[in-house]
Amino acid sequence: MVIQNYSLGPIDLASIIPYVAMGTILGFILLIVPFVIWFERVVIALMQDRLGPNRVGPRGLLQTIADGVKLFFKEDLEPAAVDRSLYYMAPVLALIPALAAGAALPFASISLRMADGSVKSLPLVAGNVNIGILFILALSSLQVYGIVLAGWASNNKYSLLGGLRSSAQMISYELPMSLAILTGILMSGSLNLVDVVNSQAGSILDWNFFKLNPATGFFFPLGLIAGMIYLVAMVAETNRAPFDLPEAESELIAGFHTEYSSMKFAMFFMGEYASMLVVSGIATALWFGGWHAPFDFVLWNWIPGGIWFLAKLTFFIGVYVWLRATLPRLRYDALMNIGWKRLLPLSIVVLFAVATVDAFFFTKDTPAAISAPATPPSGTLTPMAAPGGGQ
Amino acid sequence: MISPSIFVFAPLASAALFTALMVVRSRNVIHAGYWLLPCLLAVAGLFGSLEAHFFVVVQILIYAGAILILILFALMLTRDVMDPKQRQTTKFAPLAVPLCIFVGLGGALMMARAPWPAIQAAAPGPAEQTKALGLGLIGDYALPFEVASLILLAALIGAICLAKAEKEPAAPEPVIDLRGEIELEESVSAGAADGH
Amino acid sequence: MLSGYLPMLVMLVLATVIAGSMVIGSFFLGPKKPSRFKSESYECGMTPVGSARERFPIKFYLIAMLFIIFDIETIFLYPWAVTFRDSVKSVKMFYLAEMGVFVLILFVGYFYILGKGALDWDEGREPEPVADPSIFKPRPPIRFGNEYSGPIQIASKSESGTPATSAAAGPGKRL
Repeated sequence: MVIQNYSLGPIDLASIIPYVAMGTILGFILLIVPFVIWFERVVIALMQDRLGPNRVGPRGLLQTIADGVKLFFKEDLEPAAVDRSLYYMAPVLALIPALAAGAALPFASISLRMADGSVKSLPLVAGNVNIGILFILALSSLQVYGIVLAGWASNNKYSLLGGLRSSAQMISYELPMSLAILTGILMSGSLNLVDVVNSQAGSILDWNFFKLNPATGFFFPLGLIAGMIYLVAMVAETNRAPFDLPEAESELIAGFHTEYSSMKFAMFFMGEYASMLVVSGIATALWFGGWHAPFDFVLWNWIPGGIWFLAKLTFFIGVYVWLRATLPRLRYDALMNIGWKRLLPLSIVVLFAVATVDAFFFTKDTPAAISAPATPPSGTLTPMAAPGGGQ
Repeated sequence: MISPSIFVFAPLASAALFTALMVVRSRNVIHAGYWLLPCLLAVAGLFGSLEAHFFVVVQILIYAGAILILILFALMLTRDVMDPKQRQTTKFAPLAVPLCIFVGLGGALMMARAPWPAIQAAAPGPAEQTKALGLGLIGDYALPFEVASLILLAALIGAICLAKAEKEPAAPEPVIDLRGEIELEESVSAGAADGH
Repeated sequence: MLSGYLPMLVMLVLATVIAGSMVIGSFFLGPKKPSRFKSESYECGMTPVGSARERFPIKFYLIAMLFIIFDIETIFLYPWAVTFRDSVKSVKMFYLAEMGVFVLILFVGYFYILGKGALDWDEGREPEPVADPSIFKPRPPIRFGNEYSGPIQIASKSESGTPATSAAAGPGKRL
């Protein structure tokens, strides 16, 4: 499917693609969240043998939107004991990183016929930058502030406990998460998520999760382990069951957002679901081939890449819901043990195993690579890039 | 003489300065801690305006994402987060004004007289930067790099010593086996019922 | 070079605007009828006791410190990984060994903190009881004292006939 590169004066389609992608992903996250919540409620209801939402709209599809509108017009309670400015800041801080992290997430690729007749393939991503994955990591490390802030500002015992638990949990699982991402990057050889996705083109065997194509890389069980570490850490990072200790209903009421009402309460929910979508998107791009079809099959190649991406995303959201319906909440010490005593060492070991396999079997001794010196002349280092004061 | 980069630099620098001032001025220590967040992000923005992409990420990940959390935990460990009656200045406060002027003027003078090297070329792109940094870490600066891991090790051990005081192992509490008691109670109540 | 970042910056600004307008919108749209009981801190309907800003275990502080150290280690690994992938075989081994030493030194620290018990969150807990086979044996049914009279003699074979009749007679006797 090739689209003509229309141009209007100095602006052509190719130059506004990042903005199109930005609008698409922001709109997608904002609009799809109510339906994700509906999906979760319906699926859990099915798993628990009950009906679930079925009143507003066909099959209760509009239930969450009605809830959202209702929440806008609910009283905006402000308990007397709260720290006012921080109390209002917290939901904002919880939502911003979740929404903005989508900026570096490539979700499709389109082909444009340029003016000279050549066909150019462009990724649909707001910021096609070379450190995209690091940008997402940096933003997700800021995600913790909204929750800690909400916990402290509410001046409520449950909230404080929830905020504390959550902060320790999120920073603990950030380590295995970033190490697992690093493993994926080592397998693909780039910090740019678009390059990472393109390195997995081909079939399901080329996806980093499986990666058993002897021609390009054979990391079979290692990619699987690192991918699973990422998936576990991703569930923990988004504070979802079975890692939903920060908002454990049965012991902490609602945890960090006990004192929040009206839309501020909904914003924490939106932030949670938006970050679920973003981390699932990263999982898709990093481990499951992004917008590439699982098999190079003639009929499937007609399906646009965005649909494949959406299908994989839906699968991960389904896994989230399935986990929530199936697993009981972990005890806090078990949570910390899994993070620090199991996942952290395991992810470092897997990283080095991948590096070793790569060094022994998949080194390309191309002339271009040979010309890269082992110890570069110091002139090639920029002052900022040199550690120790740039001497 | 004025380059367009001043329009990026000036707002970021003034934001960093303003938030830094708010860190010092806040009477509530938690508020002070939270003012650090925009301050650190503004500094990350300054790195970004210098096209040091990797350091933007490091600034956010390490300073804003990790060290600030530690600072907030430390602040939340304090008992009194706010004391409106407490004076924020000492008797040496008036001294600060001439000192600031002196240091500021001295710095400005030094910067004006320093022989700044001309910018030769555009900074390398992020991928090349990261690669150059990696090459530097394992090439030219291999030894400092390995020493850095020793420093991290020392920090690790220091953290344990700070936070984990040696404790006497608590004596195991006597285990009370309730199973025998229940049977005893049963026999007592049964005996009482029998007495009726 | 920075132009590639412009859409991301725009998105950040848009996200801020959206989040901010949500808070402001709900602040102005909703009714405001505060009352003393509504604005109390929620403590399951009881009057709140004491301040919520209690001190918390130093454990969390320790976790934050350990996180910084391992986070720095991870961030060192990123440029290494990018360089490593594009290197030739002869230097790759050297790079691998070098990073191996770096991580090994930190792993020494990791095992030290592991041995010190800094990562144990269950030190106050009793160890899980080893499965005692006797608890799986069938136990006598719970009695309420009104269905059986007579001296309790569980599993005594001599009175095997009497309990049934006396249990049936028990309630009537009580009434």
